[in-house]
Amino acid sequence: MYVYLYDNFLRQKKYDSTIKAMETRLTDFGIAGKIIRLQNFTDSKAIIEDEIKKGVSGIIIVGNDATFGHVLSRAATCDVLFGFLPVGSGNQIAEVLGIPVGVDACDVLSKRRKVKLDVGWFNNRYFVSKLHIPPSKITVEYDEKFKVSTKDKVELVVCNLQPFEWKGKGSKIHVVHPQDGKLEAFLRPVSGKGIFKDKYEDPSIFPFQEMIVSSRKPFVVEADGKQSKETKIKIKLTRKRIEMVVGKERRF
Amino acid sequence: MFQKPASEKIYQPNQDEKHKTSHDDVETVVGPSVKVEGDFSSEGNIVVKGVVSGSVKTSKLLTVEDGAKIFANVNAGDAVISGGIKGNVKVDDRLELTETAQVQGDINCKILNVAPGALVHGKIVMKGINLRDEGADKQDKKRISLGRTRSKAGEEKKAGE
Repeated sequence: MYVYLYDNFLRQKKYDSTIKAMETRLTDFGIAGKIIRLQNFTDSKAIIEDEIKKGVSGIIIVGNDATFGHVLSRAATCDVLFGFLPVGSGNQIAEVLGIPVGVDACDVLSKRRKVKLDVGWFNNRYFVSKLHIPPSKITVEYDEKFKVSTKDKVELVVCNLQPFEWKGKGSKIHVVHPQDGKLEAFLRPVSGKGIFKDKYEDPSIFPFQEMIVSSRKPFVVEADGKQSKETKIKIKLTRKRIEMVVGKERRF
Repeated sequence: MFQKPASEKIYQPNQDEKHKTSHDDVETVVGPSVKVEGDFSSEGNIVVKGVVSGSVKTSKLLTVEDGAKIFANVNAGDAVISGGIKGNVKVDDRLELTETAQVQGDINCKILNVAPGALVHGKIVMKGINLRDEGADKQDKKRISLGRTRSKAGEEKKAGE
């Protein structure tokens, strides 16, 4: 039996029809199950561990990228099959996983195509989508081999499942889809200040397996929507940590 | 009456078209104001736009853009150099030096393409040289054969006596 974890935003009236259609489709496939609604302070790990004890065969996350990151950053250690039903806007991860947004996602779930996914790890915490350090004066050391430094402040983004986008010359949008046995780090030094926001140079890209980011002053780290302040972090890749139902048109 | 004609469609780029602009072949890029120190190695292509000191190693293509500087020995599968390198360059296959390239160090490669204006200060060694002086070879053979005939004649004389 599957357990469905619904995000809080799905209570909004505009999602009623989609949710009803999804529930009907899941019942048709015979995979409907228990529904748990997540609140802001719900500990998803505790819920999932409790359900595993009861003999659940899969945990299905219903929501968007934020829901996906929120649940899996805590529950990556749980040994259970995960699924994802993307609803609404802000669903880039679903595209990478080859899962269509809305009712059609139920078809992908019913096919049960399982793949083990790599997960990022930093300072005793997992991150699934991406890790972001806003512009700060940091030094980065890769795989204990080489050191990268810049004159000015630099923004760092480490992508796992969520693709990284940036505008290149001629406002061309570049998209990089990782999930290839390595994490990709994107370093964008700040080149100046614009009217509304900082101007950035073209990013430097380094694939890595282990990375140490350090600074004299504490810097903000944002991973799967959670913020913390650190002076030194070690980022690693944990290979094939999560078992997940994915679509045929996945990008890895 | 006020409806749009059925054939008229509003153009909306679909997901596939959107991703045509993307490039998934991006491997390692060192940005313009980034400084890398240490042994810098990668399994994929490397693009250097900034400064690298230490050593650079890749089995695939190394691109050093105009304005980039490498103070290190370089080891690559193929290379296109437009910036400056201070150190020995060892390329397994093809090395291309463009107009703005500056190399101070020895070059070791299989195929070399140097554009006018490129500066090189060092020894160039290229694999696959097969130059034999045929005239010299023939003379050598003659000498050997003459030596043999003389020794045979000497032996016959000794036997006759």
